[in-house]
Amino acid sequence: MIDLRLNRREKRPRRPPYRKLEDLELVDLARAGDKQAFGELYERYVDRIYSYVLYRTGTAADAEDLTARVFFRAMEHIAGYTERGVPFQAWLYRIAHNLVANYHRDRGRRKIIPLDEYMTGSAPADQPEVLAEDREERDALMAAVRALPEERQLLLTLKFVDQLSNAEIGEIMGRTEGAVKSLYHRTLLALRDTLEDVHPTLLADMSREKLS
Amino acid sequence: MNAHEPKTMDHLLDELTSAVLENQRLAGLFTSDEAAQILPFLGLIRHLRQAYRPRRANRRFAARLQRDLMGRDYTVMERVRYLPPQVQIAACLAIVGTVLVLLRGRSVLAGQALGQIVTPVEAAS
Repeated sequence: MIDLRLNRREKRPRRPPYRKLEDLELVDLARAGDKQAFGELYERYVDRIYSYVLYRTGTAADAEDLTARVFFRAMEHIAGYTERGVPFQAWLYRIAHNLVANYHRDRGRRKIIPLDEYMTGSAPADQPEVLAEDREERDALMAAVRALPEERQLLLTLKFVDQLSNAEIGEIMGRTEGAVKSLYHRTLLALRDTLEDVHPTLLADMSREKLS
Repeated sequence: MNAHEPKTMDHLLDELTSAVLENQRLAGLFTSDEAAQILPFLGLIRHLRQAYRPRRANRRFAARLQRDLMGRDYTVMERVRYLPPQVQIAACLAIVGTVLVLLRGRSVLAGQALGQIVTPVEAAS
């Protein structure tokens, strides 16, 4: 009896904890119907996807709604996912990007992103004029960002919020690393041009910064 | 890339952005020629970094979504807890209102019932 139990225990394949598995291994398990594996992938990416969607939509409620849709869609289609040069992370971001694009198209609007979403509390509470100035500058900058084509906004979000490498951004956007760098350069130029038109004082302030 | 080969602007801006995002000291990272080219973009990159901050999903939302994805059942308490606050308040008010109406109805009925009690003496007369 004891021998049998030992044999059975030996035969059972030992799987490392989900946290130690690579994305691809988790995807394989999830495709085979392992919900815990999908749960681990969810934990790895929920904040990134939420953050990305929040900056593209502007409100927490819409960001939560779209984040939920991203993961439900991913779970629904994971059986058909094959890597083929598109890692799971990139695949997830592409789903998010498409859903955000649909969101803007369906509603026919670009949300005015609330200022409070961007405030990081950098100014002391007893300096309201500094706070107001910071808000105004941030508002002007984000207005310029919103005037950019969708693809460039995506690039800025992936670079500054998610802090992905050019290679990872390239995988998501279907571009080479060189093309990502070039697009980033053109994006910065476009932002400078827009700010020069709408907020020349802010651009002048920015230009006074020094390498330190 | 060859060390003597001049870097393209694409490359310089990419390096500058990485350095800003990683909080590196910028002095000494670039030659004076390179610094002159990228300096007009430094303020913009720093402002973008300030404006874009990673945000975390609300923990309650994240836990609820995970539960939905995993297909786990909710307990009654969890069902109530995950309702929107307005719905929770409305439900509380509805429950309290219903209880009050029922209590009032019972007391009225009880009062009517007391008034209808007929003592045996009254019945005999």
